[in-house]
Amino acid sequence: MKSATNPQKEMEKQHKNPVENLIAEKYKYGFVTDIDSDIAPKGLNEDIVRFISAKKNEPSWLLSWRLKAFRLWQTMSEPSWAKLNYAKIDYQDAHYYAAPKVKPDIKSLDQIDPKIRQTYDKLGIPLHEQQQLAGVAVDAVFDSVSVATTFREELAKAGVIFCSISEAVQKYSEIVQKYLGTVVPYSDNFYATLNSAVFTDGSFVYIPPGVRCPMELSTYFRINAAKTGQFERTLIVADRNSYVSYLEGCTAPMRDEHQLHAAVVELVALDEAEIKYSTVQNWYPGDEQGRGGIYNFVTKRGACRGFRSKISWTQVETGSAITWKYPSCILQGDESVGKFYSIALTNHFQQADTGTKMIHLGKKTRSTIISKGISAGKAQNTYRGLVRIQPGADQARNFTQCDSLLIGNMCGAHTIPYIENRNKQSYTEHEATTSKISEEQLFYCQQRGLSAEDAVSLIVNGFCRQVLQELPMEFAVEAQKLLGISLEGSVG
Amino acid sequence: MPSKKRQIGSGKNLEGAMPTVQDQIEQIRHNLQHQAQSINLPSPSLEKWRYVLPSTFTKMAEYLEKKTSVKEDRFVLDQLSHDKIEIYFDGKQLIIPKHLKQAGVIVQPILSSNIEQVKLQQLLCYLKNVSSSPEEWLTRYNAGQFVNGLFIHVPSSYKSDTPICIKLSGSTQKFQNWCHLIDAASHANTSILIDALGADESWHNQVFHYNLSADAHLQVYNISTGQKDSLLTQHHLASLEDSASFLMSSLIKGSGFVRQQTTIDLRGNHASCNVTGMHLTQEKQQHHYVTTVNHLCPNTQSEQTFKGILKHTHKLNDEKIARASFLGKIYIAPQAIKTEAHQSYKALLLAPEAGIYAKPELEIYADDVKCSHGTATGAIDEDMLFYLMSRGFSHEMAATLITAGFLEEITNKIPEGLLRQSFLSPISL
Amino acid sequence: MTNIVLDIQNLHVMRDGKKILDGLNLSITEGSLDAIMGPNGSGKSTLSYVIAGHPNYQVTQGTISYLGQNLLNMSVDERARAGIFLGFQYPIEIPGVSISHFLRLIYNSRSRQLGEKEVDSFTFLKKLKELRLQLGISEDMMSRSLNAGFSGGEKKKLEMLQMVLLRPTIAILDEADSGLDIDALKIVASTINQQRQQSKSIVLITHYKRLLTYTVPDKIHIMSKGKIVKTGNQDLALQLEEKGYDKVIKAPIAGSV
Repeated sequence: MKSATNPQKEMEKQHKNPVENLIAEKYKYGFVTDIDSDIAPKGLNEDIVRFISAKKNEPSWLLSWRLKAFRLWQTMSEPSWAKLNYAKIDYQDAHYYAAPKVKPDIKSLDQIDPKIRQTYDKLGIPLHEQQQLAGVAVDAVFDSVSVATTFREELAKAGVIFCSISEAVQKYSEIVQKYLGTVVPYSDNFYATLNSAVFTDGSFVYIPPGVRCPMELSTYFRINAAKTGQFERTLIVADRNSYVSYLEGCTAPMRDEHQLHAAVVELVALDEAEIKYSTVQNWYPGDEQGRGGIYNFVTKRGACRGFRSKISWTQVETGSAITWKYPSCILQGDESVGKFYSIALTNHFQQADTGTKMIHLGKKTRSTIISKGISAGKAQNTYRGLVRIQPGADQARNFTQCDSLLIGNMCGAHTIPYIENRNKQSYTEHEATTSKISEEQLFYCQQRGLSAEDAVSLIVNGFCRQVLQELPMEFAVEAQKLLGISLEGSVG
Repeated sequence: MPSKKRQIGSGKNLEGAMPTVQDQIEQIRHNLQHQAQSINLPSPSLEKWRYVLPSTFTKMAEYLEKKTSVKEDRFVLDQLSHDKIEIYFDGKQLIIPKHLKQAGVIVQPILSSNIEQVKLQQLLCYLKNVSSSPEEWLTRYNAGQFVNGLFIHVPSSYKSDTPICIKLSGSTQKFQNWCHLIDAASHANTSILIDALGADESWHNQVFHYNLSADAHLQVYNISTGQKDSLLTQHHLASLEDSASFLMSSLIKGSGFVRQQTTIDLRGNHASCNVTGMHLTQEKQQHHYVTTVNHLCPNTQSEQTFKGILKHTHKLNDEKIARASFLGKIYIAPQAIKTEAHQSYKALLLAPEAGIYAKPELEIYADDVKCSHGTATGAIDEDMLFYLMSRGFSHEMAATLITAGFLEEITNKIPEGLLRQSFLSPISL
Repeated sequence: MTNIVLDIQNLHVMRDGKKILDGLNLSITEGSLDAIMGPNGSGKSTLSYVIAGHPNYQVTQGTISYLGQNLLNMSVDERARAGIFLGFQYPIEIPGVSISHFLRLIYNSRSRQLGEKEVDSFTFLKKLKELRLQLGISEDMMSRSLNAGFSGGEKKKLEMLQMVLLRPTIAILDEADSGLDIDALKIVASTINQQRQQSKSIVLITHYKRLLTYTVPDKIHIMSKGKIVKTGNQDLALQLEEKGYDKVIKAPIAGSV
């Protein structure tokens, strides 16, 4: 970014410390859509839980599940082990339900509130274009209720169910009841328990036996109404010998107050089924001074229940003020495979504590973890991971690689892996490195005519290559741009 | 976070005069003793104790109950050489080998009455440090309770390849707290061999504090070969000034439970340390390494290399299974640029059901650093076994060869001669 | 009338408080091939870094003008885009960055400067293939990471490829011949000769006269202790080969033009 200052001075500055000269870049997606929300009163109590359930016309089993969760949650305390610092959250000072006025009963995109569509356009994800060009079915979540679901017909032909979880509760109650909470139980952790009590919406996917989902399924999340906690609940079930690739991407409008987000994602893969779950997370990270930004406490877990089932998590995390997220795999089925590819980029005052858990239970289970952490500004970036091989997991294998890149000397990069091997036929391997962008690399690229900023972006993208290549093509392009945007202004 | 030196906060004198060093020491120890009564024992919920079996804590509590205050500790101090001299200490005066004395090496009981003021200052300084680090419970407990220990001063002029050997043998006491202060002056260069021989049904809680002045070089070889029902907890704390180097090599073989904690503060430019360790764990043994290297200054270097073997275990119930853990940490402070730090832990799992636990941790706040860590756990390579057996080795012999080769990376760094013999003799694979 | 491309006057340069260049003068004319030779530590590589604008060197005195512009006011990338190319003695490794991607980026960035149209990846790959074959660079190399795990010869050829793509006005090649086998050496030499035919200026920084037998320089400059101490023709290189640096530097004006 060129400023209007004296070029010589600027050059001197650049020569002094080309990598460290961090200047803030305004969040490009910062805006608020003005739309009246159907909002629950502030605060959290049993009545609110009942209110949410009633609003959604839920069956009694779900209400009683929510209430069990809520009662347990009241006895729990927030975990404090993560390397995160933030002001205490007042859980009573938030709305737990908000829905847009437009009824989610839409046949064509034209029926969507034009303001919402404008919002998506600003985000660079025009729905119709996405559908036509990429062949992606989009289940757009605005606030807490789904407003548009497309490509239903084509999916229906294949027998794939892709809808909001509220709809699924109504229409496919047995499947939901069978799997909901079986991977992440309502008692799992503070945030997941809270989510179980108050979740408002999310996605539901069911792929029947032997079906390869004909397109990549995608949901764009948006957080909108002020002080609305967002509690998404997603459940994906891949039946025997099926395949699905699911994309999740998010941005959020600029806000002064912290916004809480505590989603739960559960994946179930039966015999020889494969689920690929990719995330690009670009929520508002707060400003240069660390004001505002999303608090993101997510529980994501997949169960490889079946023989030779596969689950892979790929994430690009560039947003949020606080990220607390450990997409995990429970490898129950023999010869099942779990993968975790992650890029976490933190700048300014962002803090990320993210990683994965690979629990090996079945024989010949395999897991791979590739984590790339980039820290700039005054940010703190932590990889925290667990690899556990249980006594019965004969010939299990894990490979873990965690690399950190630091930009500037005000930030921190931390690696906290736990490796527990209780099977003498099993192997674990862990490697980690920490490095910085060397001045020589920067000089070399600049000598070939690239600006310092482009050079940093190029080197960072190179650092992340192993993970980027795991993303579906169009997502990878978006992610690469995002890395560049997130680091913009980080070099003088 | 590394501990920091603090100003005196306690030890006020009622008359308003400056309290003597002795008084201050008494005061701090008194406070620590007082605090110890209200603090619980460590538990698995503490991060640095997470892989210790719950039964261990019960046992510790029992020993704590039975604690007596008789001073019966016994040290054996000898110089490893052909004309071996052994000197016994029974709460009385210590006789130091002649040539050590001539070289200016001071060896004294830490609480003796004729100890020099300067040394007392060091003890005071150490106690202040300990009382300001709340998380190290056993170390704090030790600081309040220790009944004796050695003070060793290695003068500038002293340079010797022959290690000073300390054997810490058992006494009738069930729960013993010893504290040793080892001080290497500028340009000193020597080795110390520590042999902790724990007796059955005893718990030894030992603290070693090493102070290395600029350019001092100290090598510590630490063996623990206690009897199988003994508990051993050690905390080695080292503080290094400019260009000092510290080597710590340890072998854990014996005892039912060993937890060796090492905390190294690289406080001076170009200070470096090399911490290595091996554990040979079997039956129902538990061996735990906890290592932290704090890089607090630019151009510092550290290397942590640990290897372990778990074998011959029989499954009775979950509590009887051999387990070993390595909790290693590299901390790099923002100012510690141009630092290089590496860490590795590799373990061979030779027995079903045994458990290996590792947590190699990096906490980095400076960008101009080179850091790496790695761990690998697993079984003996089947192809290697097959190869050796095809050359006529029995399965057992082949496994032994491979295991020895596995440890070679560490064992080959032990200097030839008596030290090597003494250090490696407990390894009988 | 020949135009002066690069004009260096009384250049003094420090690094880490140490003086490396001490009043150096040098002019390079359009389309000329100059060789700078000199013993280790005479400041040859420093000179190339200073021309390219490496941040670790401080110019304390003197001027460098490039096509009449004050070069010292320009940043590294501005100089590069303006047509100054530095062939590195030790090209830097950048893991994860694929060569073909990198090459297209730098090609287009120079094109913008030259007011030419940027090319899409298809057109670029076609162009790249042509050049690649000329230089004897295999296709599989293009998908590898930039300079990572390359042999010395591969790295040097890749530097040549970048030079050709960037179409520089002046190329300074630091030890372009080190670590090359005879075939690669010939390829490098012929690339240099081609550039020369397109009236590009070339400055070869070299230790030995090996490369100079395949591409004959117009001038040879000998550097010692941060200065050009002698300038001559091809004979000077022969003298160096026979007598060594010490004698030639001390000898009174031999073979100067």
